[in-house]
Amino acid sequence: MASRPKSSRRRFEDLRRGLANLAREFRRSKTGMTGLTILIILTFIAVFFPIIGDPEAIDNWTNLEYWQDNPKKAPPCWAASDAFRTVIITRNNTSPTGAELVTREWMTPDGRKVSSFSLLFTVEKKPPTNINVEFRVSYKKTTRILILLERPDGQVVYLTKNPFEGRGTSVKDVFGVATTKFNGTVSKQISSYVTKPKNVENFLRPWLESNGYKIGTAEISVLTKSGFDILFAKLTPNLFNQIEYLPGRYNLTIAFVSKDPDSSFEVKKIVLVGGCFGLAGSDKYGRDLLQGLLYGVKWALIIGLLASLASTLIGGVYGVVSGYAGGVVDEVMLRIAQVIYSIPVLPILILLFAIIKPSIWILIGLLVVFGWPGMAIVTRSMALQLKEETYVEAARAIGAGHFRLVFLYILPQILPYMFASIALSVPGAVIAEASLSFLGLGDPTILTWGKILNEAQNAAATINGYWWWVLLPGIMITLVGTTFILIGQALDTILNPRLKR
Amino acid sequence: MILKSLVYSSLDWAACDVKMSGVARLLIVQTINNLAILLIIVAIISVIFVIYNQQALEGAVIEAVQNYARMIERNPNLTEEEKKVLIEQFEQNLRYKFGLLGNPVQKVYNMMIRLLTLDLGNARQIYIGASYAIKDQVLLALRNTAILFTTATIITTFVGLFIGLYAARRPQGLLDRVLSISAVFSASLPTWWLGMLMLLIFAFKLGWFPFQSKDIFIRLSELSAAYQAGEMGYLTYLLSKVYTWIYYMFLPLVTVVIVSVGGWAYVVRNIVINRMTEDFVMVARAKGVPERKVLFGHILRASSPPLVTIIVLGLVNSLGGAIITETVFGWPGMGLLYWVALTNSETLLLGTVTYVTVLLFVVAVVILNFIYALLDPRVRTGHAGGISPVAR
Repeated sequence: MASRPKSSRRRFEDLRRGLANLAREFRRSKTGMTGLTILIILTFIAVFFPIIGDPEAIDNWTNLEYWQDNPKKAPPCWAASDAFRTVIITRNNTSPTGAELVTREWMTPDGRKVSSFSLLFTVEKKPPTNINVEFRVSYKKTTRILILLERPDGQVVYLTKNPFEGRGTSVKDVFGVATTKFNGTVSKQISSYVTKPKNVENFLRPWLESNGYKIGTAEISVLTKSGFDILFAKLTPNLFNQIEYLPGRYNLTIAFVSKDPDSSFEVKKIVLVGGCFGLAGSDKYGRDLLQGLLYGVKWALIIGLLASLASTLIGGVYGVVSGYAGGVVDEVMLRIAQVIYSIPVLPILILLFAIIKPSIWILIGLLVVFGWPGMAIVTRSMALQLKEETYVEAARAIGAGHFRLVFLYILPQILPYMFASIALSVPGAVIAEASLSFLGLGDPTILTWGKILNEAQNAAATINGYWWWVLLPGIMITLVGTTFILIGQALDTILNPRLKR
Repeated sequence: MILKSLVYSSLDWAACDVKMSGVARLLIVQTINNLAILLIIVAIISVIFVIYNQQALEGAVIEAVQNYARMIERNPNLTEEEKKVLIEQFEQNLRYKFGLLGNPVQKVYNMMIRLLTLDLGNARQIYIGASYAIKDQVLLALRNTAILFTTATIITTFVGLFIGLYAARRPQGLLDRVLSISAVFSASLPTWWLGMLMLLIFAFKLGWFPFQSKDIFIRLSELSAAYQAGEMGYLTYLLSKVYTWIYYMFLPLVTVVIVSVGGWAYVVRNIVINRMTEDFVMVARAKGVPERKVLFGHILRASSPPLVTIIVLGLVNSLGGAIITETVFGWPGMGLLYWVALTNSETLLLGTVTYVTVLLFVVAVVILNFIYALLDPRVRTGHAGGISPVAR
């Protein structure tokens, strides 16, 4: 009786030594250490995301208002050297780098108060993709507005009627607030104002016609799409087929003309929206994809590790028990494992998540339910051999029970192979989650790379050439996969020396 | 795929049944096995359906009953008792009409029969082909998927065999290193993502191939109509037919092949390297058999049974990914049907597509088991008694 704890201690000593050997050989493997290094970096990103990333961005991921000042569908800035860089002008900072705001106020002879805001900015290669303006206004009498753009070639484009000649354009036409009395904040995206069919007809068309262009239906439809860009274009004969931008100093003037002498108008914020964004670009709502990419590491690791860990452990134990038991029990257990093994998982998961509400934990559970038999079939055949080994027989002879034999004598021998299997089955789980999310069947409460790719696909990213939106999330998925494959392959090579040769 | 290199010899998919006698017995057992798997999956799909339908209709009944109760509430000619009876009757009628009464097991059974016979009625729209019937749409999609998938598998198999064999000849050589790296990548990147990249490069940037392959069969039928009308000669017809196939099928095909070939070639390499140390190879070499013949004649022949096993398993694994790849390319197959069924909430269509996908691969497994039986001499001659999985 007294010999039992002793022998089990020796078993564990063997196991410990075995694992130490494995670790020593692993440290010598170049691929293995590369994989391990990347894994450590990834884990670091996942754990310290609140510090290195921007958790506020993730919290506001579905709050589209939070992202409205960012360029939409913009490539990363390192890849778009000619793009306009975003400039934000606030009340406290009226001349940030790249732009300048000049404010003037005066009274006209007929007693109207004019508050004029001139925004001066330089276009080097490409113009801003949009201009968002936000004013704090207060007036109690009829107020009109003037917007005009002075171009480097001396042309002046009126984007409203001239309030000093005739009726002019009311504040309502631009900002949608009452013309005679309002107190509060008004805002507008100039691009969407300019390309409104009515405004194209009233302002862009006369301007272009005065420059000798013939405007037909085809040209109108171009203007309603890219009218804002044409404001910054060289007036070439080929204008409507290919826009060539006119570099130089632009001046966008927005003036309020109010009959109320006590009216007040203040800039709250003006954003010259650029044509590139951050390190990883932005999506169609202007969200910072870099934050999504960094945040996704956490869920990829959780999904991959949990699913592979659980399925390998369950499968490993199942297989050993099956092989150890032998006979009819083994036959039945093996048959069950093989049936589950040959079910194509993804189609079943797609069907299931189309019907029930997708949840990340249910997904992980199902990946385990369908994922364990692979390991079970391997460990079973290993157990078949191991149970005939002399040391197992010896243990049986001294009276070790079934539980003891399985868990203390056979399973520890198989453990190293299970490590390799855990690593090698992580990519499958990560890809499965990405695939489901790509089909729009991911957990709606969680941001994953698959979901970003799903949004890219829905925005026809391939047809429109939004390469950063497709390339970078996929690289992250591949990186996680590669990391674990490298580790797994290194373990595999150590455990199967014949593969090296 | 790489995991399979660890486990390949112990899986012995077919071999575990080889206890008694010859080919026929083995094949029958295998086929019955696979049919059992198919039945189990059909049962799972049916259960999911019946539960889903039950829940959806239950909700509808409760809503209708509440409306009815509110309606008769205002009727002054009815006593409380009468109202209760009326409501109960109304509910019973509805339940009967919606088919909510009855044995759930019976319902699952009925659903299974409907799925197995593809007797599924009409979809709400025509998504593919020219008929509303779910059966017709799914069968058409199945045909198109089979075309793409079979071609891809054949190309992958041969290219992979070739690369794997040559890599095994010089382990740690240049080809072997490249192969190891590509095997790592092919196991860790989603096929459909590579498809998106291919579209960005070859369709968006270079403009060589179309974004969507949906039109391929329309183009082909236009061509054949033009030929029949005598507008073009046979040679022109043939050439433009080949051109159309390549133009629409190239990108999806190449994507699927690229992703699967690396892992597959790596498995071939590992199996072949293992075989190379065996006695019969040394004997062949000692006899002076040319190296090429040793490689293709002796080693490949001896390795073919486990290789077929791996092909089967590889198929099973890549089918799901390949189907999503179809949606990226708009290939008018099962993948596209999956996509439209999902976006249009056509649950019955979705279930049918799932069933047919499973059917597709069970058939593939059965076919490859036949090939396996033909290749393995132990199975062929009926001396199958002694295959024991080799564990390492």
